[in-house]
Amino acid sequence: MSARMIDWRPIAAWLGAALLVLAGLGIAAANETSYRERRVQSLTAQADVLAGTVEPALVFLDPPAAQDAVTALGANREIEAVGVYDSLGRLTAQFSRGGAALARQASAVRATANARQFSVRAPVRHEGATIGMVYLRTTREPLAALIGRHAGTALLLLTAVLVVGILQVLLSALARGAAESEGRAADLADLNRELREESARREMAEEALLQAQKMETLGQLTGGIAHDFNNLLQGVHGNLEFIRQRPEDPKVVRWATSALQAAERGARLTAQLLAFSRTQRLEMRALEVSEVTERLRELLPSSLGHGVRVEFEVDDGPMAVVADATQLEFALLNLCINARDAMPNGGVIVVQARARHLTDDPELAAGDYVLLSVADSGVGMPRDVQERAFEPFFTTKGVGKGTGLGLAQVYGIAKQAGGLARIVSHPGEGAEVTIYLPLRRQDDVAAATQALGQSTPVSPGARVLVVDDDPGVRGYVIELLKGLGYEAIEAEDGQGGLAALEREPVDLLILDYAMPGMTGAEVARASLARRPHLPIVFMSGYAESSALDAAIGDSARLLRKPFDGAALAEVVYNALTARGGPEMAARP
Amino acid sequence: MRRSLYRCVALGGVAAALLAGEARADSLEYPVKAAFLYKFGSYVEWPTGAFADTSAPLVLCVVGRDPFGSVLDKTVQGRTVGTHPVVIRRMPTVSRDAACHIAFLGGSGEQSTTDAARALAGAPVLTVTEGAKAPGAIRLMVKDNRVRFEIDQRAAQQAGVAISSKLLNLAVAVLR
Repeated sequence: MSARMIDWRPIAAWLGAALLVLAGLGIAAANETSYRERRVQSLTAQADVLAGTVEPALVFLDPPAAQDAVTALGANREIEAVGVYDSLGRLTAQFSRGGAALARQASAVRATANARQFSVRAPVRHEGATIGMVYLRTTREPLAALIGRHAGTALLLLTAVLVVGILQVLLSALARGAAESEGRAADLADLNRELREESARREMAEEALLQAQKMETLGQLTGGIAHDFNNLLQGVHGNLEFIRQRPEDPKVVRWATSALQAAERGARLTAQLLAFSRTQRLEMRALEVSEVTERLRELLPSSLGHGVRVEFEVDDGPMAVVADATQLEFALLNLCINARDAMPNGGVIVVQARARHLTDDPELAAGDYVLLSVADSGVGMPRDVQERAFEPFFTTKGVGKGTGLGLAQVYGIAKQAGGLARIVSHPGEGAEVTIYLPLRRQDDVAAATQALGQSTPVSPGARVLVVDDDPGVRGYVIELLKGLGYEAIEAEDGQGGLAALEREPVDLLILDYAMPGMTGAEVARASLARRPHLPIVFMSGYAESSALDAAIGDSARLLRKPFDGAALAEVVYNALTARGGPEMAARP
Repeated sequence: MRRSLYRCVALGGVAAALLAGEARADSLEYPVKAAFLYKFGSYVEWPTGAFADTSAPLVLCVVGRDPFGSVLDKTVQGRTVGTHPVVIRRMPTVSRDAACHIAFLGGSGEQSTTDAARALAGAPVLTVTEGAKAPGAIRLMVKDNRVRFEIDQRAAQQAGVAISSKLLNLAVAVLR
């Protein structure tokens, strides 16, 4: 802590004032002295004149004559006493105002000079000899006159001191005020800076949160998924190895089936990842709820870990809804993760899919609904938390453990599918989140799925051109198509495909999107230029749907790799039946 | 002889009176008058040439009767009027060429004061006499027990002698 600096300014100011006072007093003293000198001088002059006047009277022993002169002097109101003394020191002539005292003998006479009264004595001389003396005394100056003489100086002095004093006070006040202002300005600047910084931090935090939510959920998936992928690949690889080694062994079918199943599971896992990490075009379609629950059943063990058990209660019978399958899966997955987190000591998660007819619901119109719910027996939620649970960024999880976006997304997904989401919970008794979705009557969905499973050729004889740089994929697709009863031709790049188009009539073009050389989009454009109404299906493991849209518009159909035979059949069927072009009609 | 004897007796009487302690006013008359005689000189201006030089004596003449006696000599001893020492001269009569500056006209059988005054007419002499109606520029008298004087300015002007106003102010009467 620094020592306090002495402020010299007020001290200097007061010193100055003190000097002024001293100077004033000095001047007053000097004035007084000179005043007295003047008075004495003037009185002395008067005395000399009187002495001259009374000289003959003294010479010629004429006291009356001296008295005349003395009396004349008495007319001067400033004169209090006059005395003329002869050569023997005897009072010869006199004047005294108001009975003032006068010495009888010249020897007793003294000249005096003080603040208010003066007296002088002067010799009367004749022919070089002193023959007598005159004495003159002034009246006593009234006090008022004395004060008056000095009043001017005193007033000036007082004014000067006052001015110094006031100035000093003002200066101090100003200095204090300035210091305060400076302090406050500095504080304000600091505050401002803090606010700005905090604002920037908050923006960054919000952005980070959004990203983190993605990453978090992604992390939830990728952790388990990456682990299981290894296992799946092991399954695929292992089984295929067996087949290669012993192709005639009757267990080949079983091995192949196991490998296929593993691959399918892997495909669904990737779909989850893709769905989440890329901007994805929603694919709202009619789907059976059991599809979603089955896929969930596969995903959950790797996503939730071993601490919890999951029980599925799915109603029998068809339960179709219109939704994006991936989003619905994602929503349920999120709910299961939340349920697990609510049971840190383990427990049971119950996933239910029920069809219900609702009549008195305050928010939903009367009708048939599918209720997808995830229930846990965990800590439960208090009422105020329940009310805010679907709010974005609202979370009861600690810092770094949850971003609060999961339930908001669930609610969003439910709304997008035409329904909504609700929570029921009591503290200590767990929570149940239910997604309500309108039930759709899509009998032909089930029929189509079944039909596809039987490999019935649809539109027999239609010619399909497959363009893919990967021979494995190309071969697989060709096999599938032939198996479905179509004629299939292939090309390994864009040029080859375009040449094939020129050569033969083609009813459908299946293109790989990501190809070296001419990309799928370019091939598509070039093909459409030659054959404007040609149906096109894109195969993509790379799901840039928005880029695809931009490239060729709504006419593009998408087949996501990896796909199975059923998926391929459906897409091809849809593409061909949607068009029904003249080429197809012409075919036998 | 008889006159000098008479004078001695008179002087002795005066001296005795003086020596008799408290002097009576009338016995101080002549000592005062004697002092006045030469003191007039301080308030009088003679015409140029009246004095040979600055250190020339001021001659005080006693013409005829001398009522002062040695008192005058004692009074005048060592005195000056300005720069001029005062000297006494006694003479029975006076004429124009008597080199007097101040002349006290005592009068005598030989020359009365009037004749003496007439004899000095026009001469630069301050003539002093006794008595109210006496001739001369200054006339000494006693009034109210004090020695006073009258001044005849015409006579002074005739003599060419200037009398200071200070003296005129003190005079009982001034004849112009």
